[in-house]
Amino acid sequence: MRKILTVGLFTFRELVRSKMLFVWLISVVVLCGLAFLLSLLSYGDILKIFMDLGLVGMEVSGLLVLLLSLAVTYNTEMDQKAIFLQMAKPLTKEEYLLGRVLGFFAMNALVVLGMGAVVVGLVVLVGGGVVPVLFYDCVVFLLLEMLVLSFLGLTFQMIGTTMVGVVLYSFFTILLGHCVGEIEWLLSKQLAPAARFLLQVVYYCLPNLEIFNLKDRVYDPTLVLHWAQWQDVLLYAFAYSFVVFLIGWISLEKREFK
Amino acid sequence: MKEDMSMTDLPCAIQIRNLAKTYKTGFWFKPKVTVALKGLHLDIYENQAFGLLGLNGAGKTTAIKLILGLLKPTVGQISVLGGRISDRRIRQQIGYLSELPYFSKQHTGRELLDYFGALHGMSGSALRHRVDEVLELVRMTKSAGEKVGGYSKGMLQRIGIGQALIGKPRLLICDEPMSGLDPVGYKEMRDIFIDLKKIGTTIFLNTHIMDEVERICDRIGIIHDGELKEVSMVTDILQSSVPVDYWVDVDAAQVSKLSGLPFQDAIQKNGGVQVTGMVLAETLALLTSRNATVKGVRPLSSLVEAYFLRAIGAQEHLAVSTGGRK
Amino acid sequence: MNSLGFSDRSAKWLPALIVAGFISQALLSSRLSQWVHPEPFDAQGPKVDTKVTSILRAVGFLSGYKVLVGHAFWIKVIQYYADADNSPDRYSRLYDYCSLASDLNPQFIPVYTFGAAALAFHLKRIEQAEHLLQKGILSNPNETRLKLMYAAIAYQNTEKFQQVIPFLEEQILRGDAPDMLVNILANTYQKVGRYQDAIHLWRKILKDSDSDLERVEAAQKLQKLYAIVKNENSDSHR
Repeated sequence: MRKILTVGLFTFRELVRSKMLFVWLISVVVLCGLAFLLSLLSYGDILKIFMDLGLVGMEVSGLLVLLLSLAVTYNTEMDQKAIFLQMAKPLTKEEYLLGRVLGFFAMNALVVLGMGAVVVGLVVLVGGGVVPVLFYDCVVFLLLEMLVLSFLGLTFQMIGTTMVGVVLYSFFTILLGHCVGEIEWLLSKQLAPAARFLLQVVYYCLPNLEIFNLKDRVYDPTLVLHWAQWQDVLLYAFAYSFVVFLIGWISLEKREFK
Repeated sequence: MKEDMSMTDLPCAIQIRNLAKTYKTGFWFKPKVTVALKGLHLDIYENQAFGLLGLNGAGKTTAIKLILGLLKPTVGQISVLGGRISDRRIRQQIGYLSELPYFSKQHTGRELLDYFGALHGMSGSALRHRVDEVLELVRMTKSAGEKVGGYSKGMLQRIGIGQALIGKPRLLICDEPMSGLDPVGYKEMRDIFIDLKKIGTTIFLNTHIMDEVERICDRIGIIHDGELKEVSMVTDILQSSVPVDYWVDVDAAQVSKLSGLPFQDAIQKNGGVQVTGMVLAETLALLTSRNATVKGVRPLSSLVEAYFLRAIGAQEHLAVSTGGRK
Repeated sequence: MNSLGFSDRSAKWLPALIVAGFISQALLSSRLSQWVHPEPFDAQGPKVDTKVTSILRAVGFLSGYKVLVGHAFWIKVIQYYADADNSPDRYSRLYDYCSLASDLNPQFIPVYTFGAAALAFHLKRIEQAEHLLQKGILSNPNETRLKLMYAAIAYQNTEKFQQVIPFLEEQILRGDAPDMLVNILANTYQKVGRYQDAIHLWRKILKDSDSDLERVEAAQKLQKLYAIVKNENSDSHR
């Protein structure tokens, strides 16, 4: 456990010092600018606009930080082969992977929660409004999504052979993960058996990111988060992350460090 | 392959049996097979320094990576410190320095050593004390607080050897440890290795610098085209009659006395003559008899280098000069 | 021993572990669809026949940023309505645009209130306004502004009082309806001739209302209603 924390802290420190927090700063500036612009151009419910923009900003900045982290660490670890010296140490591959995920997630969480604080500040202090209770649930779901994507990104790092490839795989998987609903809708239609089978494989392989997406429903009065939903979401996050982690672990085991 | 059999009773730090590595590249239906290592059979004994000599691309780094588990062997078995490298307890006793090591530029030297020390299971004051010790050993105490991104090649190499030594390894494996070092750094690194030998650390190093091998190693192996050609004690090589060329310098005004030397391999050049070791005494005697003033005699290559070149079957051995003397 | 600490024989369980993990996440993913409301981009509401809005709808639903696209599209709707060039065709696409904006951002109330007000009071397209508001009330059952607007539009601009009454009764039965809604229902009862129901409501307002103005109005209405009922009774006796 200590070694996992050691690797995690090392990774986190590396990312912070790689100026990843500038992403947060830029996101805050862009968020405030967009919020101001929309408040001028749009009509009605300005606080809701701030909240919605803020939630999108939180996710986008988290994803940006994740993709940048993957790129930066791929260059250091795989291209420049800094991983060699670590693999020769008394450190198991699973400790290494879990430590890296911890580092990515910590960085992500810092940025997401930092943006969250800015959003709450905008809505409460500047707008004089009230933060809906679902906002906090939304933040937790967002952090769960970031955790799943951290595992996924790291597995792509283990499988990928170039930095660009790793970033692109991750980006498009994230995009497709939000289209799971559309795939379900397609599956409900009449399809050729081969197409249905292929679509089902894609459906089950992709991460179902829509279940973590409460951004659209923060103000939905009909939404009540039951404990059953929390349970399902947590179990799903754990199960998917576990499978992805195993794949990453096997890839690292089999990888040849030429 | 000639092998020195005098050590067979000593405990083995690394035991390699029939190790081979091939790479397949290209399309699956038309793969290109590259043989990196062929049937390596080698024992590295404890408390010794072993140098693996070879040209670039001979398979030295491949051998090291196979030993450390960074590559999977196609065929063969490796035993390290009596166990398998996949066992964490074995890796606990190993220090490894890769060729031109790369570290995260965002950390300081001290933070890096802290990290690697923590990976060895150290913590708290024991770790701090050990890091200070290692920084002192590799002469990096003053630069320990600077970011690695600002380090020179030599400083990176020192930190590299530092992280390899942080766990007080029983077996130290180094791949080209002297690359990037200036003459002072080279000497300091050499002294470190000699000190490590004295305390019983087994050293395995890859190099193509003959001088390094001669001064540090007890035993050397020569690898060429993926095949281990020779293994011998350095003392045996130094006492052997491996032919070495010599350069005999004469006074500029007496160059004419060099003409007509009867030795087949004598090559007359500007102000001197190059002869093989076998005819050195006769050449000197002949020059003395012609009243030529011999200003100096120096070997053009070391014994180890000559041994190496003979082992790999090089024809151009006369043109090779020793490393460190350029 | 492999690096997991298991023996090589136990490591054969690894593929089984992956398959088991994959199956469990697949099963959970199927269960999770009950918590998500997938809204394929051509399933809800009328189709909008411009390329831009179709693309926006697709982008919004596909990217998971429906709400952001909704806000951006709402600006377009306002600009459309504010553009005098659209006046000759009487802002024919206003309802479609408002519908798309509400699909993207169902909890953004101004879409319904602004859109319905423009459709009902300016463009006199009552049915479209009512449809938009019904959509809004479905997504925001606690939003009283929408109910008030719906009631106001129904009362002011339509003769279909009978259709409005069940809606108003349902909202009042929920218990959180504002007094103005009760006023509108009482007046509607009167318009369709259900005087006893109207009297019952005005009495309720007279008794429970905190506002003096409303009690005065209730008293006046009751006076008129009693007179109407009395006249009716005397007519029937004749």
